Amino acid sequence: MIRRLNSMSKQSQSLFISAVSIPVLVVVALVIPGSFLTGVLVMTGVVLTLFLPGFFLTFILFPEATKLKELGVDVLANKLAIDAIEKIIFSFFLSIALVALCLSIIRQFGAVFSPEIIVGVIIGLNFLTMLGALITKKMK
Amino acid sequence: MNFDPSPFIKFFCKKGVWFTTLIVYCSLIFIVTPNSLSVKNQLIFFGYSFFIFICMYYVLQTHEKDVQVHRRAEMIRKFLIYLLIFSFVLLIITRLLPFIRYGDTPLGYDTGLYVKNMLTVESPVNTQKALYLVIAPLLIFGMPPTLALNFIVVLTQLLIAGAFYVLFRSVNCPSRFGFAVTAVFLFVSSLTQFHAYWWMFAGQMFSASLFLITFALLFRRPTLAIFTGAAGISIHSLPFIGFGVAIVVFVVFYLCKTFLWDKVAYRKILLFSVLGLSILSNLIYWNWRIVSEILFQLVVKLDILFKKDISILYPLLVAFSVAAVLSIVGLLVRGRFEKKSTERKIFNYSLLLLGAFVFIILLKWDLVSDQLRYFFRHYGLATNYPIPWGIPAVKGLFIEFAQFHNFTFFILPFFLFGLICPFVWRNKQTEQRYPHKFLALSYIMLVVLFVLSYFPFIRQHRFIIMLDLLVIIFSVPTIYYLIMHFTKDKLGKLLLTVFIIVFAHRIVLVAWTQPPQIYSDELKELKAVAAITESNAQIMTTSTRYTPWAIGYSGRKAFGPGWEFDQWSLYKWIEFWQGNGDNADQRRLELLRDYKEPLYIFVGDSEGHESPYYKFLETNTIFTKTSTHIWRYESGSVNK
Repeated sequence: MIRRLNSMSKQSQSLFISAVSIPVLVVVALVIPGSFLTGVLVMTGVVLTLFLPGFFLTFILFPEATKLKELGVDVLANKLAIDAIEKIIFSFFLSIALVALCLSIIRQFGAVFSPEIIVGVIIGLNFLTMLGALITKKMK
Repeated sequence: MNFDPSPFIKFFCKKGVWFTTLIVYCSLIFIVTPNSLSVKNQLIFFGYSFFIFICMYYVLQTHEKDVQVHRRAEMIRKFLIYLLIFSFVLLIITRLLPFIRYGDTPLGYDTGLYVKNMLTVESPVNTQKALYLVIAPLLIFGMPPTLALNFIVVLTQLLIAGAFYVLFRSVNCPSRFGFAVTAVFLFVSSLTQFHAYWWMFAGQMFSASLFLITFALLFRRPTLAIFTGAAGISIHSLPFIGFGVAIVVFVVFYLCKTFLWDKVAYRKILLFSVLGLSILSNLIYWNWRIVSEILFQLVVKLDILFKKDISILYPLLVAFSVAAVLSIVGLLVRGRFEKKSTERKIFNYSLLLLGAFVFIILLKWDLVSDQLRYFFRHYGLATNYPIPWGIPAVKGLFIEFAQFHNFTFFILPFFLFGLICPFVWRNKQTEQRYPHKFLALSYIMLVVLFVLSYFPFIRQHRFIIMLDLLVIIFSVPTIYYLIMHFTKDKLGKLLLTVFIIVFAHRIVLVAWTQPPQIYSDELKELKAVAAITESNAQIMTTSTRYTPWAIGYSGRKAFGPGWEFDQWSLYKWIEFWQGNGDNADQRRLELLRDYKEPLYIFVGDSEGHESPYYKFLETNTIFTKTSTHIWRYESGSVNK
């Protein structure tokens, strides 16, 4: 299964990850106390904070294994490229690191957080990383 | 008859490495066997350990000659995928079992404190702690605090398992996937890790996962490791202590090696770099007033520019200045280093150190300096803490080393074999056969963490969690080789299944039987306190076990033995807990006068109904029972 996942193109991998994660998110949203809408909002928050920024960052930071192999640098492909499972794991870690550091640094500048500022930072991070991912893709 | 010793000498010479290994292994097994075991059980443990050694000897001897290995590769891979899925399911089951059995707060001692801190995150007066900054968005999006905390704690477990997977995928070992899956399984079935989860050390576990991913990134993207490392340190610094020491030792070793043995050109570069840095630091040190004056003027000008006081930026400017100077030096030196891999390593690790240093200054210098001051005030030893009954708290509330020893009992032979036989890490398919960097750092970390968790250092017990991660790392190759060997035939597969079931059974049993530190009815009463008491009421818990819960959920000023707002010394508490005799109750009443009223006293089920103070609360008319576990103290009724 993992080999099959690795052999997929980047788009297919993303599609696969979305296909797996969306039903999981819906189920979790149903479990969360309150109305279904609250659940959806909470899950959106979880995804925007703990997953998406890192997910976009993986496109910028880790090259595609297939492209590296096409270029004939197999050693680099083994070292730098990541498989689908690693992509999910890195998405979480990079999101956490990014959110924690950004908010800490902004806090260090003396900012007094309000819910609006925090949401703004999170959406901004998502937007910037998505933009970065798109630019990286274009440049390739 | 003449005795010819040559065949024996030849045999010993040929098998010399194995004999030495066996002797060292047996000695270590002898050392780690607990004295508390009966002789019979000790012998069983010796037999078990010896069996593993013989198996490994046979496996490693036949492995190289085994032509079937490549043919069986697909079958082994399939088995490993099943094992990975099984580990994932086991992780979910064992981590969710407490919630299924005991409701929404089955974990922790610290839960109440986390919830209390989280409630302040939502308000504009917010925290500096990075963990709450990660949780804050979840709260803003509508997640209830307790659910957010539980979600984060369960997530840390998945993240640690994931980080183990990435770590072994990043290291040059015989089978990256096989080692990764084995590590995940060992983590899932580790009793120490389950207990860390059960105690709800959210910050430390979160940071531990970031430590593992930083360790992994070191072999893939060292520059990226700075960010995960900095985030980890800003969440909880403890998991990074062993890692930090290991990197410092490693860098110093490589610098010395390069300086002493490598080419003259590199020696010169290093010499000039060291000289340059020392001159620069001297200049800054001796002219600190001038430098600080310049910085001060800059701050003043920025103040005028932004039309507000931004003196908070002062440490930031220092950090950026240091970073700028170091970056320039780094960039100048890097050009020379790029040609040789060893020197690049030094550069990468130095960069990591410097990056982490700058981030610490940037984010947490005040907190780190406080901790360092605290550490050096007591010479790092918890036993030097001035208040004797505070020592257990200073050591960190978690399992004792002896209990950790019992938890790792089954795994110890695997760990010891992996520890003394580094050739299990050999990868014949690549040019560089051993993961040198990984092994060097792991060995140093193991030594550091063993010392910190075995001797009574500050936070001694919390280091056990980190030591367990290292035990898992060193056990992985031995178990992986056994898995690979036993998948050969049906009997082997049966043995392997039994082995996996035994490990899974242990962890499921512990997850099933582990009671919560507070039961739901007790917690309900604490939650109801805010509704039934006066706004200036105080809650006293007679056991520290319940204090964090009272602080987190009562909505009132709460305290317990040795906590903030507690007025009594240990001697007074002993009088309250254990006092017996004619005047004991009278003395208790005198003691209670130290506290302002209205005062409510909470006594949990775990304290027992036979204790003298419970009987005192039940029988004395001065107390009004407001619920099953809470009494209201009214000194006025004495006068009445």
